Amino acid sequence: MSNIFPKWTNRLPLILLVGGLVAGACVVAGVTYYFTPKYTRVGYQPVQPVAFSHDVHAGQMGIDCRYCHNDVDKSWFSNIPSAETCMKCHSTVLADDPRLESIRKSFTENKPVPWVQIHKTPDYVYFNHSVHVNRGVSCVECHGKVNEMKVVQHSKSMSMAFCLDCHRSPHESVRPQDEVFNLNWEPPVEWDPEREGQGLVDQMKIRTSESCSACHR
Amino acid sequence: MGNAAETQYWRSIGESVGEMEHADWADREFPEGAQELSDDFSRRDFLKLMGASAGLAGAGMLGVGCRRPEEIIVPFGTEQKPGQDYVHGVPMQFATAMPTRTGATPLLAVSNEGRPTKVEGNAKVSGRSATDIFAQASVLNLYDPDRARVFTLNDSPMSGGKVDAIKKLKELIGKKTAILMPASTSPSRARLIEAIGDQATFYVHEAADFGVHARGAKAAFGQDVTPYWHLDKAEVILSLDCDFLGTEEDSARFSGDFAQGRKVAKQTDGMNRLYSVEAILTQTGANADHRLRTRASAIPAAAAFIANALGKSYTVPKGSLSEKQEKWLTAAAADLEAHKGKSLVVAGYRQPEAVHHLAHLINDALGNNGETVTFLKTPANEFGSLADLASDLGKFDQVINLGCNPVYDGGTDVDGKAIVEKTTFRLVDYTEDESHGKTGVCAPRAHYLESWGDARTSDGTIVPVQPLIAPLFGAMSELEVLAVLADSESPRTAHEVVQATFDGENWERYLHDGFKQDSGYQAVSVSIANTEVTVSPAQADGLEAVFTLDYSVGDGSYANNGWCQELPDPITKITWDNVLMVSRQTAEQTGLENGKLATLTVGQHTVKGAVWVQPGQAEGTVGVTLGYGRSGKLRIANFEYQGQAKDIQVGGYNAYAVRGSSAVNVAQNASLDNTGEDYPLSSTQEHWSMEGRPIVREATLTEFKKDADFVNHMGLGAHARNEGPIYQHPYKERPRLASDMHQWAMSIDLSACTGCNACVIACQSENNIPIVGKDQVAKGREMHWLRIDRYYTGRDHNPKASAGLIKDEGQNGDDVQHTETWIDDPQVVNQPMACQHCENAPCESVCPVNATVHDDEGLNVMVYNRCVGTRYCSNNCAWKVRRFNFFDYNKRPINDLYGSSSMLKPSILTDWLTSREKSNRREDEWDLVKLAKNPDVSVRMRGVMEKCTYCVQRIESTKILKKAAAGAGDDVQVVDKDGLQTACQQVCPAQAISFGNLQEEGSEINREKANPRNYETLDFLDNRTRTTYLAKLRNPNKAMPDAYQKPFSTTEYHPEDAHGDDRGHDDHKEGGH
Repeated sequence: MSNIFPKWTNRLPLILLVGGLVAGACVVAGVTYYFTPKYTRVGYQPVQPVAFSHDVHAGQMGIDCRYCHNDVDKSWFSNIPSAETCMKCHSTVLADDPRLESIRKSFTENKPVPWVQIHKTPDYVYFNHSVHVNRGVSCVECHGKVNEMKVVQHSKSMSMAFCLDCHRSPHESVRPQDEVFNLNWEPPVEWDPEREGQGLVDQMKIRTSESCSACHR
Repeated sequence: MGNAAETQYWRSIGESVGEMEHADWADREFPEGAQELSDDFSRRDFLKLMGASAGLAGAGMLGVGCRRPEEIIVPFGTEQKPGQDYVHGVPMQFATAMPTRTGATPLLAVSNEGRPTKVEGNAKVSGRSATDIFAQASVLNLYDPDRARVFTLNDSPMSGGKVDAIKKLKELIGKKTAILMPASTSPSRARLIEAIGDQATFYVHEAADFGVHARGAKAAFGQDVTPYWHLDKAEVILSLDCDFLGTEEDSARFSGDFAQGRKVAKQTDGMNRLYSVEAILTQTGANADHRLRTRASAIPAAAAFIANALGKSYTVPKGSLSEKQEKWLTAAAADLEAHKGKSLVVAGYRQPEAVHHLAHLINDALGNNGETVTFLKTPANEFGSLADLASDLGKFDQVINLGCNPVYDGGTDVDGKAIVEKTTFRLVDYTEDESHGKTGVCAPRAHYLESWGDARTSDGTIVPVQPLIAPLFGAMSELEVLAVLADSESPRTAHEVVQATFDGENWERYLHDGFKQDSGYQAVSVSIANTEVTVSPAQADGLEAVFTLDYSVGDGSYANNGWCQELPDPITKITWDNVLMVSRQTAEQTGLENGKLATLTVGQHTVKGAVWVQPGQAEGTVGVTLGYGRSGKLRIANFEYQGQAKDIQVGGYNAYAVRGSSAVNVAQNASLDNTGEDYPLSSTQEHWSMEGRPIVREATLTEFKKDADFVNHMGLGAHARNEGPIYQHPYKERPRLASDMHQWAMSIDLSACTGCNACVIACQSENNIPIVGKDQVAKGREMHWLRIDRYYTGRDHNPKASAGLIKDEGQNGDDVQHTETWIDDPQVVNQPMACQHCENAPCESVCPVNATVHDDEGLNVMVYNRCVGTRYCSNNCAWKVRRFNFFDYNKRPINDLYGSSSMLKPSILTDWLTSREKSNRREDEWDLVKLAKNPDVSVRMRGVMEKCTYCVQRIESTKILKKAAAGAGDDVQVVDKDGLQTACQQVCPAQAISFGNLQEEGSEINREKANPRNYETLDFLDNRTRTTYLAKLRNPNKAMPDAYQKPFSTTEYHPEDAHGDDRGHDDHKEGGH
């Protein structure tokens, strides 16, 4: 019998095995990195129909988040303001600015501005804004420093692990209730989450649930 | 990105942004999970790995970095914001009312983003948040895909819709008009009718006539009054064919009042006693302490006999009552006499005026009038009936029909077709129903949740009917039609009419509270004006047909409501159909069996229906249920499942086809003939007996007084518990998990529960539970999270001796149970059964993917996203309360669950990829399906398990409200006064269900659990259920010929000492569990 298979084929199973493992590992690594919200969502920065700058309004002018998102402490949903809210100021300020044309149009024609949604929890997640912002959790914990963003982007992953991190150790994220809407708040130097943070948790009887029923119904 | 210290060096991008995982790597050398692999490789981790490997397979197909599709978020426009109170995402409640035949159910309707999704009773008006099943189910009627959608003229759509219809209506004025309308208590309607005056003649039609209560009172007292029963004040109640816990109007109030006298907490507490005389087993009879079954035509004689026992002298027709029955009635009368002023005799709508008259005379003799029954001055009925219209028809040029369906429910001797031919304008629920005419205007009738109106409750309180949504299909209400007829020049809107009717001070307050203060009917004192009563004799032999309203679909107006159709009848447990109910002996004589088709003949009319051998049915009677057998384009009422035999009738039989106007309630000389054909029935509970097992524990009041701890001397509980639980306790394993603030639990009082089914529908409405169709119910696939188990127990029935399922395993007990004699006079028990929320939960232990787990507050939660549908949990559940989505009941039409040709189109795949939300339902139907959903509850997809969640959405929203209100404070524990109620608890007319926080000291639930009657079902399993039951108590009278010392269920359990009093020593003999 002649040699049908060349000699190198003896090593073929090994090559296939090793190659397969390497390829598999690459795919696993790729999936765990690229398929998670950390990759797919963080940095998402769509172009909005109106070039609204949170940096100018909330940052430089210091308008409170709740001036526009006024239902955030009452509902699960943090509302998007209607053009009416914009026009409270812009009927006098920059009243003829061409950049505000679509707002004025929306106001007069009563047609809402179609903003592009950035932050979204899946339908099976029942996230509630009011219970967080009324209990020492600042906007900045999930949305980042929106007051410094010219164009809003998705800054945290908002994956389930992201939620659970905070629900497992709330003392690291709570702040005094009157600083919730102050996105520039920095803990004082002597602030130790284990002491001050935990103190707040105990004082306010914060019982963050890690159970499924906390968010899924 | 992030707030990483940029001055530092970093080894990877992950480290630079300070990811948690990376910190783990650095700290632990091995990542999380690696540790678990070595010592305790949990199922979940294994599945995770398996899932990841499976994910690899498809990974190559997809580009890296795919993002979710762009979505638009739209704020309210300036004018779209409906008032300043509206906060998007917070459900609103509006006070309104559902008009009923003789009153109204005051409601608080819940609106989510402008959609009414759920109704609750308005406790401000009635004192209770309860409603009956019809109020709960009425929400689905609003979103019925078969509802009339277009205005038509001579069967073709009108381009102008409502405007054209009103124009047409104005043209009709001036002719000789008859107006046919359903019963109503609306003051606005009465005002408009007065304004129309002689321009039209009015006729009122209802298939079931409850006016007999007022007519009976008029006969007795000579005044226009309606009796108003106070069952909470009555210690002894005798029902003369009066189903006040079921088909009588206002049954929710009666159930609540009646249950007041059944909730025994201490040994010193008293308890009411209910005697029932009836032909068919009703809810009231099922809850009676003593029940006498007799022909319906013998009840006048029975009433006269009672009256005579109390000193009157009426002629009791000879042969109407047997000697045994007379003994029973004598003893019952003696008991009534012993409770003068604290007893009550009530007569049902099915009985003739004479029985009502006699009941008033008896109550008068007992001194009950003014005590347990008061009399309200009600307006006299001034309208003719449908039969009157049929005979007057020649006098009129036209008929305007405001919502009646005379062809369907008019009965045999009303020529409905003639009325239809003369109809020029009609308000319809369903365009092509039985009374559909080819001529005239046909306008969609507005639902009460989309139109203005008003009504009066049974005590006369004026309540507003407020719309929550603009008419979905531009419908019209009867007030709008009458307003045009009253003032065609400038007709007022229904809103203006209702506001003009209101003569109180504060219109806003009226709408806010949902009632007008002190507007009830005046209570008047009455005295007997007429003692002359003619007592009709009972039919001596042969068969008598007893017509009854259906518990689920009423008179047929709810026949196209899927929730109602799939609701098991509280007595027969049959869904989707009505049956001809006969007793065991009658069935034997006629050679009939369960599910055989038989022809019922009454006079010259016949109808074919399926036979059901009904325990407790009187001999020689056949129970005939109204409300089914609808024709016309009603897809739910005429539901045909896939693969159904072509020639079989659907949707039950039409009892109106044999119901003549001379005998609307009881028809003599009926006959029943076996056709030999079989008819498929879908029953949710085939087996009738508890087989001697203490699932429902009960005792008599006397027993309870002797031994308050009786519940703990039943079953194997005490023995098995010593061996310890089989399943692990989540909090023992992980003590940190248990919340010290909230631990939820439920208690159900079986003594109070009447089995009315309201909780089942409320649960369905609250939790987005789909219907599955008749064929799926037959396969045991109904989705109700909460069911009511109904068991029969028989005197001296020894399940071990009979051919029951337990004794001979080869023999099917279900096949022979209807031939056994013990079912003739059964006792009935009802048990609401839902997930028991075990602490040592068997389901949790067997789930391979941790899809059912325990939460920190004692709930056994179901994680739909994790569920892969192994159904192990359901198999291991001893209560069989888990429900599996065999199909996507929401997205697929229920008559096409298995898929038809449309499922095979290649577009299905592309649709799925591009628009996964898309359903196989018709586009317009799909919108309506979505509108009816509660947004706080996930809609489940095919392949996942689901079950009772203790209304976790309500728990969480109450907790959130409390926390948000607490702010930086610490008042975050949910307590009783925060008003947290589960849907079933809130709706329960009998207030049998308690739910609350075990961690709150002195809470209602803790009080209920401390009740000596508290027990766990299947306690020998030691699963520590969070739902416990309060044992049922019965209050028999020793002097009765059918007295019993123990409920039949316990004599079944201890057959050897059926009449003895010692108990509890022979638990060891019971091994057959």
